[in-house]
Amino acid sequence: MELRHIRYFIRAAEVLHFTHAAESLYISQPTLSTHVQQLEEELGLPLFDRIGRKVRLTEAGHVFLDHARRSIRELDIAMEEIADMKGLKSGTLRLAALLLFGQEILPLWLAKFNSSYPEIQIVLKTGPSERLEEELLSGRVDLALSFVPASNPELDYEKMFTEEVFFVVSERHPLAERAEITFSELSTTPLAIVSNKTAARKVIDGIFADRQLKPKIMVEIDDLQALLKIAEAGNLGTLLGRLAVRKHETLRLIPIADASIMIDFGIVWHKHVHLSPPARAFFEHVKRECCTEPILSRIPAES
Amino acid sequence: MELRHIRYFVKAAELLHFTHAAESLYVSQPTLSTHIHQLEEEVGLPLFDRTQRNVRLTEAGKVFLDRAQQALLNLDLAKERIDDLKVLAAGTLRLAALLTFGQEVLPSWIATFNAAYPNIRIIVSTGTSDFIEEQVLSGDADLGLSFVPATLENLHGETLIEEEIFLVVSDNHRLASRKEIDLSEVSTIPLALVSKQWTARRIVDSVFAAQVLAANVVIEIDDLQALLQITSEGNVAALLAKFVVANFPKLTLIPIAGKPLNINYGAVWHGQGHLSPPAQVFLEQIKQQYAKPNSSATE
Repeated sequence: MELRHIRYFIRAAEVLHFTHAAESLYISQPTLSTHVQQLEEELGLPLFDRIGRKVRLTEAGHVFLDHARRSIRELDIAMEEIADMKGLKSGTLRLAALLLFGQEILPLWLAKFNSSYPEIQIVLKTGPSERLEEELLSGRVDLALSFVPASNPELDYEKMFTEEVFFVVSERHPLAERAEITFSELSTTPLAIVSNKTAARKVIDGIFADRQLKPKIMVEIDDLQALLKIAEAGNLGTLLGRLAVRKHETLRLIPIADASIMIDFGIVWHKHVHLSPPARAFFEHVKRECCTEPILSRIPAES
Repeated sequence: MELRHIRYFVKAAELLHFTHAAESLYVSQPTLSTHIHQLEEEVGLPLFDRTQRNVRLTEAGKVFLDRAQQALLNLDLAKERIDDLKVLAAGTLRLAALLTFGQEVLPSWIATFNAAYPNIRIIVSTGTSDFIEEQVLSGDADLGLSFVPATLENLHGETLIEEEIFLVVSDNHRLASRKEIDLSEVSTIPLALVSKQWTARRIVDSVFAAQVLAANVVIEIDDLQALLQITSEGNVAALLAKFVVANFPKLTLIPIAGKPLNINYGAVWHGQGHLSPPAQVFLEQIKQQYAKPNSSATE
C-alpha cells in the first residue's frame, strides 16, 4: 500500500467520478483505476461499485475512506507542525535575562532548548531589569526574563513565579542564628545590595520608604556573583530570594518578620513586535519548563 | 513520502536504536538509515538527534512520531474492519422486499441468516416491485426480493419461487369445495385485489385482458394482511399465490382451470455492481432453500 494510492482513492471517493478524479490528480483515468484496483486487491474487497459511468462506494469503501482520511490528515498535520518548526531551523533567539536567571535556571532551559532546536543560535545578554527593558524597546532582543510587571507600558509580560526576599547573611554573621528579623533591625544593619537599576531594588527601597526607614547601604553593586561573594565574606548582609542564593551553602536565609517582600519574575516582550519563531518556541519552552522544573517548586509560592 | 518510510521511522523511534529497529524490520541498518534520512529530507528537519551517544528524537521527531503512529493505527484499523466485513463478522445487509415476502418467508430467511451471522446488521425496506427495483439500482439496497424478471435494465434476477395463482376463498365461501374454476367464472365473482401499482395486480389484469374478460373488483387494497383478513371473512375472493396465503387460517385455494396463471418471485441485484459479502451469502442461502422441491417455506 502506498500513501499516494490512498490519496488517489480518497479523491475518487470524494468525487465519485473516476475521470474527474483523475483529472484533478493530474493522472490518467486508467492509472487511477489501476491504483484503486491494486488497493482493492490488497484489502480483499471492492471499494467501489462501478455502474456505467457512475461510481459508488461499497461498505468496505466507506470503512476505508473513513480511516484513510484520518490517517492522511494526521500526516498532513504532522507536516504542518513541522513546517512551523522549520521557521526555527536557522533562526536566532535573542534573549536578555537578569543575572539571577543566568545563575541556574537559564542555563538549564537553554540547554534543553538547544537539544530540541539544535540549529537555533542563542544570543544572551544579561543585566539589570532597566537595561533588559531598554534592549526590548530597541528591538535588540526578542524576550527578556525579568521582574514583572515591566515598568514600560510598551512592554507586555507573563508572570512565571514569585520569590520571597530574605535577609541573607554568612553563617559567621552576628545575626546568622536568628530565626527572623524585623524591618527596623534591618534598617540598622549594614547591607550590600543590588544596584538601583533593578526592579527588585526599587521594590525594596519602596518598602523602606513606606516605613520611613532608610537602609544602611554600604555596598551597591550590579553583579550578583560579586554581591554573593561579599555576603559570604561575613560582615555584610544582603536582601535576596532563594533562587539567587541557591548553591551558596554558607549563606543563611532569615525571614523578615514584619514585611514579606515578594517579587514576581516573568517573561517580558515588546507589545508591538511580532515574536520571531525562535522566540515563540522559547516562550513555550520556558512556560513548559516553568511548570515542571524542580528548582522552581522549591521557591515558596505566593501566599 | 512512502508508508514504508513511516513504518521504518516509527519502529526506530519506538526502539531508539537503529540496529535493533533494522533487525526487527528485517532490513539492514544502512537501509533503515537511508530511508529515515530520505524522510528527514522530505520533512525538512532532522527527526533524530544523533549527536549524542544515544539516538534521541528531536522535537520534530516527537511531533512526527505521534502523528505517524495515529496514521498507521488508522490504516491497521481499516484493514481489520475490512477483514471483518469479508468474513461477515461485521457489515450490513440491505434488503428491499415485496410485502409479500415479508409475510412469511422473509422473516424465516432473516432468522436463519441472523443465527449464522449475528454481527451483520439487516435493514429491510418493503414496498412495491417498482420501489424495490429503484432501491437496487440506486444502491440503497444490496438485494431485492421481488418479481422476476425485473422490469428495469441492468438488474439481474433469479427465480426462487415459481408460483401459481389460485382463487383464494374463505372456507365458508360458496365455491370453497370446487376442485378448479374457469377464469370466466372468476370474472363474475366479487374480488378483493391488491392495488394497481403492484406487479402482481398487473399480471392478473393482463391475464383477464388476454381472455377479453374484466375482473369484478369490489375491494382494492395495498395491505396484504388486510386483504387476507377480508377474504377470510367470506364474501369476497382473492387471487393470490400459495406462498402469500401461507398459513393464514380459514382460507381455501382453488386452482384456475386451463393454462396456469404463473408468477415468479425471486432475487434481483445490480448487474454491474458487486454483491456485498453478506448479500452473496444471503442469496446463496435462499437459493439453496429453493433448490429443493416442495420447499419448506411454502408449506
